[in-house]
Amino acid sequence: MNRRQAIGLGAAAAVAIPAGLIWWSKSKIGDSSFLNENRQAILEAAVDAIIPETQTPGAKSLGVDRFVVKIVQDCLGADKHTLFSDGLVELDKAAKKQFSKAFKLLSSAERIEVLKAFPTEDGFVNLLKGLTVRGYNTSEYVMTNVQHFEFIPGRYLGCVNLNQDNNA
Amino acid sequence: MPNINIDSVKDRTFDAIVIGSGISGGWAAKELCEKGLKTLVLERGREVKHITDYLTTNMMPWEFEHRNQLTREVKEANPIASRCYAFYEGTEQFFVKDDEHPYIQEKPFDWLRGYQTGGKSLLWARQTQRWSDFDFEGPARDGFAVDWPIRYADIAPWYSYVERFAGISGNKDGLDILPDGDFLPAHEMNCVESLFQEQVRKHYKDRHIIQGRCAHLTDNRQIYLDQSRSKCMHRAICERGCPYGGYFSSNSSTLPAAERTGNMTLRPHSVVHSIIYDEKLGKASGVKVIDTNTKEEIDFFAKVIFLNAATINSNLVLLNSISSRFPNGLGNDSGLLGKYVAFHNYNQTISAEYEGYLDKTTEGKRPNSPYVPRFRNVEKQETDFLRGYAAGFQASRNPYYSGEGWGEELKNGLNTRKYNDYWSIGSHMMGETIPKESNYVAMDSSAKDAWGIPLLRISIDYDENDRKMEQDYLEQFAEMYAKAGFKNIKTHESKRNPGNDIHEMGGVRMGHDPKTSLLDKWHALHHCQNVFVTDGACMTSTSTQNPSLTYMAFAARAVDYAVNRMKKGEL
Repeated sequence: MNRRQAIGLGAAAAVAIPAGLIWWSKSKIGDSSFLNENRQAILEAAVDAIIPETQTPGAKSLGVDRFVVKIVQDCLGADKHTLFSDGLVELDKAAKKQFSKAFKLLSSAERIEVLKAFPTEDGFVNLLKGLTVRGYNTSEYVMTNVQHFEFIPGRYLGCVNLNQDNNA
Repeated sequence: MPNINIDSVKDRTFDAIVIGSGISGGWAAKELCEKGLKTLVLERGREVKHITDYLTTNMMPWEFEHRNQLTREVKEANPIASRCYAFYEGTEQFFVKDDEHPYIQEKPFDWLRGYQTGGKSLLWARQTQRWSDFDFEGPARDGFAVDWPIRYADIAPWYSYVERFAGISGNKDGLDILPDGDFLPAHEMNCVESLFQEQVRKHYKDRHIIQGRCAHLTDNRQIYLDQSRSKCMHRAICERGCPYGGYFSSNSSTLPAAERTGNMTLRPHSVVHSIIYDEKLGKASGVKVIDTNTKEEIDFFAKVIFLNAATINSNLVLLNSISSRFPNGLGNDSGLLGKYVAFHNYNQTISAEYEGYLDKTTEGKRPNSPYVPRFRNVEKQETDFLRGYAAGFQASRNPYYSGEGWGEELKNGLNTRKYNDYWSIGSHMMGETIPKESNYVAMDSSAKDAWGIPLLRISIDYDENDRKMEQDYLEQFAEMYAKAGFKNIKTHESKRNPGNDIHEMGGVRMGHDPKTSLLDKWHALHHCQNVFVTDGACMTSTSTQNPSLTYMAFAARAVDYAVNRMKKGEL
């Protein structure tokens, strides 16, 4: 029995699930982003380097850049908008200085070099990395396939054997 | 819901009116309807139907636009609601928005409200601990407030009555301080919680760690299946509304039961302006309602009125019920209406770590945690502060994923489940505060809300007794933690405003003497015998237990009494 049959009424789910999907459509996010196309591209390149594509999806293919924009735009203050937007431009400048290329044209290893060398005082890099990690960790793919998130555990067991690194 | 024809007085006349559909109003409605009374239930907010209106209940964490973080706009518009632990992207729809329902804070007070059918019963923390005579006898023994006009024996059968229907899980712990009830199987403690339980038992003869008693169905029984409710599925996202009816709410339990009798008329969008007092009859004849959509004023009539608008709004309704007999508010000959409001002090928490049971963890989720019943000043006064505190307690060992490094190193970390080499321990206090005349709610003389009802002024604060109690809680728990072998003990003051506990109580207190109290031992106004108040407003003192279970029992008991009096033609 799936969860909707289990509650005997699909109405709540029928409303809920589209609401969750709407914002993932790229056009809507693109329309409302406070970043211009160039900065959006730098952000995409940054999240792609921070959590790369391997045999499993990385941050870019999980749409984490869109999550980052969404949070900065809707949840953080105007000062953080400026910090974030300017930070992306600075990242590009640093790339040109270090490797004489635009940030998005660098290899993943080079982008990480730029990020690691970037000054940390203003908090931009921490914010970028923190939101990238959060977007990745709370994505459907990671919660389902890595963390084995149980929406309906149906139990609480107070003392079970611990299986350290069982996903390693 | 039947349509209400408001053309004639007859159509606006019921046997009973219940003001408010929250946890106590729901019980009043169910009991009145089941006893055959045509009952009008007034709810000031919108209708929230069980299951169908729980719009976020089946949403996965990743389906929330901001992954359950509040937006800046919502936080800035709702600083009060935003300080509540249960207010997040998935629950915003069940909280009153600060700017829509203003009030005047003479002192900082977080007034958290749920204006919808079910009220805050959708959002509550579901802890259901009984009072004992150590609680009811508190004011008389310690010389504050006034003596409660009831004792445990008066209320015990009603606790059992509401527990059986609501579904309360817990252990029979055999403690005088926290009487056992009619329980469903208890949730499990984990290994470290059990260790703390044993250590505390070993070191203190009068202190106990028990599993919290809570309003969750831990077994499928006919009485719950008859309510279309089934076992709690341990999702632990209760505040979004539960599609299983796994926890008790008015929406899942009492309102549907009232509905099934065919005797209930539920009218949402109906804010009560005042109770109408009939000078000739010497009792209330009905209530004046303002339709919140049309702003139309409508009078409804009934022989008996249950006021369950939640503590502060129940005070407001009475304060605003002015007649020539009662120029200072209905039943307020004593001048004490709105005064002696108190709350629970949650201001301190204490955390620690335990470095044992490292080969163990927990599995699943538990919508509950262990509970530490009050152990201070129980048998006699033993500290330099009055009364005491209960506490929540829990140990946990949740996995984490390392966010160290960059690139593939970071990704490996985020894909590797790790556990700390310790268990995390936490506790929060729930302190009794002493009701005082200087802690009050009152109507403002000029400012009004969108419906022409005077704004409330709220003036409630901590005092010296609270601060001493906080210190004692921290000292005693630090000692108990140390004796259990916990390390890295840290205290934290949460600097909460009163009200953030959502346990505000009093203002329409019960008592023996009409000169010093508003309500008699049956919850009827001393001076207006067909008006009953069975929500938090009736509380003479607060003790330390989460109060909702007591309101439920009060409501059921008072309805029984009221209906008996009606049958005798006395009301």
